[in-house]
Amino acid sequence: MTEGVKSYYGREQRQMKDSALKMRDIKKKFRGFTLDIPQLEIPKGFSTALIGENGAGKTTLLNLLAGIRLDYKGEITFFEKWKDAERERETNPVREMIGYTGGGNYYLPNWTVGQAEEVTKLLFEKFDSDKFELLLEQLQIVERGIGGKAKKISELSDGNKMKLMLAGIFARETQLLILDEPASPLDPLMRDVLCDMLRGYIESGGGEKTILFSTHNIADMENVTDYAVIMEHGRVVERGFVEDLKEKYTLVKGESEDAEIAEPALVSISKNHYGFEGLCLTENLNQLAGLDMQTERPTLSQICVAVMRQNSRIRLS
Amino acid sequence: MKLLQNSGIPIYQQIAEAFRADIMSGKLKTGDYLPSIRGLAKELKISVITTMKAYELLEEEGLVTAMQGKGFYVNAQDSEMIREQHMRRVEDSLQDAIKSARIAGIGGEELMQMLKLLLDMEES
Amino acid sequence: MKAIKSYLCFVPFLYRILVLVLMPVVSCGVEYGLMLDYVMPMYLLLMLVVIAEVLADYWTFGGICAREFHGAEYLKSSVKGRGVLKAALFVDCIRKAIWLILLAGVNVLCWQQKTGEPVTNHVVRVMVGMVCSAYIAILIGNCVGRYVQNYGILLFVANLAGIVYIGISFVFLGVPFLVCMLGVAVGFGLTYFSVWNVMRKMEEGYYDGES
Repeated sequence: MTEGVKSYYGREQRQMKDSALKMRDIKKKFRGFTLDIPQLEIPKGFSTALIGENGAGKTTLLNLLAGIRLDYKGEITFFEKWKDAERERETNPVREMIGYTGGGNYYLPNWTVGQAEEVTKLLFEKFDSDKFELLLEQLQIVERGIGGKAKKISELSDGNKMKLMLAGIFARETQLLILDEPASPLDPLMRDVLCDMLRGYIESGGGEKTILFSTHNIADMENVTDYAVIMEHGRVVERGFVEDLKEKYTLVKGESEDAEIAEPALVSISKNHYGFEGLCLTENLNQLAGLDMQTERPTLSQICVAVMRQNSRIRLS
Repeated sequence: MKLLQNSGIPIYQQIAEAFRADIMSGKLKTGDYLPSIRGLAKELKISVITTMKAYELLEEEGLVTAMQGKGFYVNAQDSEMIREQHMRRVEDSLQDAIKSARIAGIGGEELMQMLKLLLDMEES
Repeated sequence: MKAIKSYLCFVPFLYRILVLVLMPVVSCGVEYGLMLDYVMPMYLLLMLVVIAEVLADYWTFGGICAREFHGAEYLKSSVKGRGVLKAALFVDCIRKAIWLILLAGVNVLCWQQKTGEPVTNHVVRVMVGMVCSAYIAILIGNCVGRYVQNYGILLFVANLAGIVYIGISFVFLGVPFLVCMLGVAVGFGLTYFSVWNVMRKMEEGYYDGES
């Protein structure tokens, strides 16, 4: 049972073959904090989660990548082919290849569902109306027929609004999805459906289609996350393929009297009367030798919480 | 394929184990392709990187070979290696038995007797 | 054709029936029914049209200049977003101009049918003056109204546009032809300004000046 771990122990992190997005020296001041990303790549053919506290800069970063904010310093390369400066040209395919879903200011305030469909036809070349209408029905966004389509988007629930945005991009032919908090307005069942849709998208691309989504609740999305980028205060504090991160860190549990000794070697620790639990860099495990403790392979949520706790300004007590 | 989320065994190892069993039992024959990484991920409702890691593990063990752009196919298995793999599984199971015995306070002598009894029962 | 399609994207179904079909038909009917002379009925009708047009803008481009709708993320995410919005705004202006001119034409025709009097130079100048005044008042109302998201406030803006219409009409009614042309020129200028102003707001949405 442990042979896999043995053979992988100490192995270097997986190399990224192709990137869908490559960022260099991205800087952007925004609402009192600075987004500062010296270097970041999003692997092609995989699903990447952008994880962080509220206000960590996830939305701002996704806005830059989707091209709805253009005031930043630095350079973005799309699909290893096009620079961000070229993106604005009418003939450039980058925007056509990206499907983006955002927050509250996505559609115009008075649009109806039908208008959203009409405008999509004009804005994007590869839009399949039949598929869109099928999705409207399958995802139960509005009722069939003119009555449903005449419904104002501002009157839809947050969940249905998100589903409508998703229907809009899944009815298009794209190479990259940039989704800002797609799961948060959805109910548990629909989250599961969303995960299926995302996996279906990745599968249909056969290694060519990429997803980048942000979330502050990674537990729901763990089974569609291949690569994780953890952000705090506009900076990337950890990144890597999930399976590599799970090897990089080890969850340790020990007796409360050992907590003091263990603490310096841990990334983060939480203590109570009965013992402690903390995340340790696997390479530092030997520093804990001799302590009575148990080790466990962490989940992505546990890694995220520990890394975020290490970097967060939120402090209890 | 049954995947247990909370068994303590990483999902990728469970997947690798399932294919290992299929290969050793001959269900997957030499030259057969494993399902595509992304297709399997979709079927099993797990992330791509997990299936990829499972396949990489099988590749490291020499059970399969990656073909650029075509996926993973099953290698010819020499009988020596298959025997070794089987041996390892038996060892693992016995180790589990020993562990349980320790917890129950059953001594080595008693354990051997138990094994002998079970073997006799199987043969008769 | 594509420009008209762009425009129709911004026009909901009910608006198409009410503003694009019902309003012109009713207006022309009223004109025909109330035809005593060629100035007063048309003059009052146009005031109602100005108010109606400013109010109706709420369902097409309402609040598009307001801070909250800097978003319009969907338009901004496409390389064609700017073009679609611009075309839609221009078509909207052209539609308004055409329909005002049509109204004036119907008015003169009705009046001539009933009274049999000849269409003099003076009649044409009065019509051009009225159409220009109404058009200018509508666009001023739209420019202001697009910053407003509250329907109550928009109602106020619309009534104000009605008053502006009366004010402007004093300048342009029955003036010499050259001054009439000035009104047309202002109309053209305002068309470009109203489109440019919305586009400027959209462009601001891409940049917030804090890079």
